[in-house]
Amino acid sequence: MLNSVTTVLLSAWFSAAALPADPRLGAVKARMQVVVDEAERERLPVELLLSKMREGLAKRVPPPLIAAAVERLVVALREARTLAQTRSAHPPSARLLQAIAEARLAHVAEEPLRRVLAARGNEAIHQLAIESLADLKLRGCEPETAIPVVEALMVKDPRSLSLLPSLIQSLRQDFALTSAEATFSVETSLKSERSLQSAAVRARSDNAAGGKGAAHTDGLNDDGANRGRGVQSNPGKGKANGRGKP
Amino acid sequence: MSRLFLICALVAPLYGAAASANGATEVNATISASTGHDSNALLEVSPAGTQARARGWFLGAEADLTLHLRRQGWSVLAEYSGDGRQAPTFGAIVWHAIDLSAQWRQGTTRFDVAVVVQQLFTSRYQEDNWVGAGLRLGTSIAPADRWRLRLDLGTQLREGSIATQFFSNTAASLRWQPSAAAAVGLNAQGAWLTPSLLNTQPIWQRYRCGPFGTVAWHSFIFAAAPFLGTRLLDHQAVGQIGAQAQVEHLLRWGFQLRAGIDLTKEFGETSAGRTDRLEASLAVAWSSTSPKPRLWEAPVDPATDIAPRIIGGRLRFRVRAPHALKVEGVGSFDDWGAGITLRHGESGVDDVWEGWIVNPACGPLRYRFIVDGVAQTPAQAPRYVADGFGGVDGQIDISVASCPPDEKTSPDVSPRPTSSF
Repeated sequence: MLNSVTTVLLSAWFSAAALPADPRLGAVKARMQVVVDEAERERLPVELLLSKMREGLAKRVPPPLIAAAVERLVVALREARTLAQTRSAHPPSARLLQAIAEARLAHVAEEPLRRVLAARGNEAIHQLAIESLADLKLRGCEPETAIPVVEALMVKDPRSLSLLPSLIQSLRQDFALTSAEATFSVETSLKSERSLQSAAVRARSDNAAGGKGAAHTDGLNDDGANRGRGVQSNPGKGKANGRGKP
Repeated sequence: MSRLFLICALVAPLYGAAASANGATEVNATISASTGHDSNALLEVSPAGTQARARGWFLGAEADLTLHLRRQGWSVLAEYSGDGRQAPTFGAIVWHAIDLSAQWRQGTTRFDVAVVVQQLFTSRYQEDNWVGAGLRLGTSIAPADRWRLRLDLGTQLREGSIATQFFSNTAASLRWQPSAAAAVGLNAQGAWLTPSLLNTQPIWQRYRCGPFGTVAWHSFIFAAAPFLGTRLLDHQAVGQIGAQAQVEHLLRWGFQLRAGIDLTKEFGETSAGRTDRLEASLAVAWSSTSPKPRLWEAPVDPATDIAPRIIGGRLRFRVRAPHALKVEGVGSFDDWGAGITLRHGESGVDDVWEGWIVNPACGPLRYRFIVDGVAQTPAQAPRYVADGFGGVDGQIDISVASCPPDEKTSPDVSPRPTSSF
C-alpha cells in the first residue's frame, strides 16, 4: 500500500512540468501551474507554454499579462489541434500546432488555414505556409488575398515560402503598390516561373516597366554581406605615443 | 607584474561604479605573446631622438585592458596598455600607457579627445628613459557606405621635447558574399620630435596601400592583407612589400583566440640600411559583452544593413538606436534566457548596436531587442511572428547550410537561407 502511494506521489511529482523559477512569477504562479497541468493532461505541448513564460519574463512583461498570454495560447493550441486533425489522422507535431496557434493569435481566419492544411504537402510544408500567412497578416496583407500565391508556392517552390512576406513587402515599398497589387504581381509572375526567386525578378521587371516606382535593380543580390569587416592594411594604434616602429 | 595588479586594483572599483551607473559598460582584456626577427630595425627611444638598432630574434608580450562607459550621446574610454620586448641587441624595452578618452558624434563625424600618459623603460639606454603626457585629437568621417576616413593627430610633452605623431587610414570595401569581404586601403603614419621650438626633426614616416580581405567559416575568421609601401627615415626612402594574416577563433564565455603573422621585406638603399621583419603572435582576448569577431579594424561604414545575417556560422544582430544607453537581444537562441548585450558603434556607425551569437542552433530563431528596458520589434527581420503579448518578434531561419557541422540534419523541407528581396 505504502509503495503504491509512494509510486503515485513520485510519478505525480516527476510528471508535473516545472514552471520557471523566477520570483517575478510569484503572484500568478499557482494560476499558471493549473493551466500547465490541464494542458499536460490534454497532451498539449507544455514546453511551448513554459517557453512563453520565459519569453514574457525576458521581455519584462508584467506577470498578469504573461498569465493571460499563456491562457490564450492554450486555447489557441486546442483550436490548432482540431484544425490539424483535418489534415491527417496522425497526431500533429508540436511545431505545426505552434504555427497554427500563432497564426490564430495573429488573427488569421480559419478558412485560409483550412485551405493550406487541405493542400498537398508534408507537415513541414504546411507549417511553413501557415507561418507565411501569419507573417503576411502582421505586415498588413490579408491571408485571403495571399492564399493563391501560397498554394502555388507549396507546389512549385516550398522552400521559399518563408521569403514570400518580405518579397511582397519590398514590392509594396519599392513600387508604391497596395498589398493586393503586390500579391497579385507575384501570383502572376509565378504562373510563368518555377521559383519565387525568378518570379521576384519578373515581378520587379514588370513593375519597373510599368513605371509605378523606382526600379530596384539589385535587390535580389543585396545580401548585406559583411560590410564593416575587413583587415586594416596597416594596423597601428595611431596614438601619440612617439614610439617609433619605423 | 605588480603594475598589473595595481591597474586591476584601480580598474575594478571603476568598473563596479560604472556598472552600477545608468549607462552601458564593457570591459575588454587581451594578452598576447609574440616572437620574430628583425634584420635591422630602428627603435626611437629618447626625446632627443636616440635610435637603437634592433637585430636578431626578439620575444614580446603585450597586455591591454579597457573599460568603456557609454552615456547618451558620448562615451568615455579608459585603456591601459603594457608592451614588453626583449632582444639581445637592445636588451629589454617596456612601454606603459594609460589612455583616457572621450568620444562624441556629430552627424556622420565622430570626435575623439584623449589624454595619454606614457612611460618608456629600456634596460640598455637608461639615460633615455622617459615619462610623457600628451593630448590626442581624432576624427572619423563616414560620409558614404563604402568608405571611411579616420585621422588622428597627437602631441606629447616629454621632459624637454615635444613629440608629434599622425595617423590616418582610408579604406573602401566591397562585399560579395555573406561571409567574405574585400577592401582597398591607404594608411599613413609618422612622427616628429621637437627638442626646441625652432627645431623639428622628422623621425619616421610610413605610407602603405593594398587590398585586404576576410573570410568567415563557422567560428573562424581568416584575414589577409598584402601591402606595398614606403618608409621614410631621415629623408631617405626604402620600399616595402609584405603581408599580414590573422586567424581568429571565437570561443565561449566571451573569449577569443587569435594568431597572426606579419612579414615585411624592404628594398632600396639608404644610409640606415634595410629592415626585413618577420613576426608571429598569439593572443587571448576576453570581452564582458557578447563575443564579436574583431579584425584589425573595420574599414567601412555599414550604414544601412541592420538585418540579421549569418556570417561564418555566427548570427549577427544589429539595431539602430541612436539615443539608447543599453540594448539587449533576447530570443529563443537561449530559450529566452539572459540574452546578449549589443555593443554600440561596433559596426562603424554610432547609431547602430551590434551583437553576435556563436553557432546558433538549426531551425527558426526568434528574437527581440530590449532598448533601455523596453521590448522593441526588430526592423528588417526576415520574418515576423506575433508573440502573444501584443507585440511582434523577428524570426530568422537558421538553415542547414549555416548550422554547425554536428547539427546538420536533413529535414523534409527547410526554408531557404534568409535573403532579402
